[in-house]
Amino acid sequence: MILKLENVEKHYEQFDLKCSLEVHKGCVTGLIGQNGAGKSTTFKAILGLINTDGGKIEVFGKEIKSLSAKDKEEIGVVLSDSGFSGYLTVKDILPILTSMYSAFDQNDFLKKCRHFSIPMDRKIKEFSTGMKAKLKVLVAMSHNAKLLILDEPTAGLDVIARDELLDLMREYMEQGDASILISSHISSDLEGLCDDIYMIHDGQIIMHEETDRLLGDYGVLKVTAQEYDKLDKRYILKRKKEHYGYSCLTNEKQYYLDNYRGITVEKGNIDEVITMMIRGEEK
Amino acid sequence: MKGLLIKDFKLLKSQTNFFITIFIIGILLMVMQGSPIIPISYGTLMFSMFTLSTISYDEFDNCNAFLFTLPVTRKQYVLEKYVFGILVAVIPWAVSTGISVIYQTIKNPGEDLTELLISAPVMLCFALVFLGLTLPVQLKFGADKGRMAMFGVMGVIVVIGFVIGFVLKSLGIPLEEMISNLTTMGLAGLLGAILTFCAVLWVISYSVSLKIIVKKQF
Repeated sequence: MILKLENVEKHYEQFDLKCSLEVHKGCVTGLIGQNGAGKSTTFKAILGLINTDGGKIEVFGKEIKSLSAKDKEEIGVVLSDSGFSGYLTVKDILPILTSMYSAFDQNDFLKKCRHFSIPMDRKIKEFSTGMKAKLKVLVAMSHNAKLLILDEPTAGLDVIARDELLDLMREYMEQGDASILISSHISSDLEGLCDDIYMIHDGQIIMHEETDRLLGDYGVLKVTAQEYDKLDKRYILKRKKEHYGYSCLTNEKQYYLDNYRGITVEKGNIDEVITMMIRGEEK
Repeated sequence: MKGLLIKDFKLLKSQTNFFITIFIIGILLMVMQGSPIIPISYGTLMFSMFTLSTISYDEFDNCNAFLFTLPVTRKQYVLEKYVFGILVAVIPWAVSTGISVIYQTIKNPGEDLTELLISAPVMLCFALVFLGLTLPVQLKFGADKGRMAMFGVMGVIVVIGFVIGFVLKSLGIPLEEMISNLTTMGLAGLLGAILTFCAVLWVISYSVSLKIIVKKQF
């Protein structure tokens, strides 16, 4: 286990986080939720940027408070709202990274900067949103970290730039046994990248599932009120009242396809599942 | 800590034009006023104040959060600010003192440099005391609130000084006599006393700053 959160709690005046999650070696784990759901708070708790009010956080099997500087070299981080000072240039951050990370690969970093047309001499505050995002990810990947913690790394990017960054992450995973915890509110980013996905809402993890199962077995049944009454509800997770009757989230799509001929079953995707989990009611 | 020092020196480098201007103004004031102490006091204080600016840079756009994800501890961050503070006070102080000595020697050959050489370390101590007082305030309150808080701190120091003076007077202990006794300590004794005071202040200041940063959430 690379990262483990066990009943981690953080209480604010108008928001409470209570979260458990795990990231396994060699896996990409996604954390998805609406804005304000608690994704960034969870990341800050993992990184020790905020004090928690309960629970346990372990990185590489150690309590986060006992992580040494050497341990932190094994973690690459992207924060959605923070990075190197905008008054520095990429040229300026090279010696900083060299002195901080013994495994910093300057040649590879520079090669990737050139590939993504990131200017060396311009102040970071003058970069476009896309350039800033790419630089953050390149920095996180520049020192052969075993764990990447990426909070909204693709936020504010156009489709092409997002795709380029996601390719970078896939390449990173191909190199060895690294692990990634990534958050996004763009579900399609996570669908094609993550091995498993946690959904967070109002500070609580409302679902954890392997991506393959989520996309393969989950579905939404669209049924009339009469059809709903006759349904076997064992595999219905949530239902939502619709003008035609009910839409129902199931984690056994095939069961209904086999046993209820004629009902409409839509293939599950993360957006559909998260919407049903948040807005749907208990069956 | 080395990485953080490099970061702060890179930030200082990004303000090169500002510091060249300060340097030129210091030299001009020295020549125009004929006072070699001006570049020492002015230069040392202006450069050492940049330590506070680095804290503002770290806070700007929430950069602090990212800095603390790098392989540095909070203790190292605080220590680096104090080391950086000493470096940006001592290096400009040494350079400006050298320039002032050369200027004085050329302008008034053979003149006694004792007064200048006594004033120079006092100026350095003044800058270090300033940093020792302001660093915890800046770390606690940040750039904007920090300025207001600094006025408060200065006010409290003045009040404390006044109260001490009043208490000593009430107890019949002559303050003026105590101060005049200090001058009888000799140059080495006086400098030793000032340096001891600076060192004690910095140890207290560092401990307070460390507590502030350890408690801080980002």
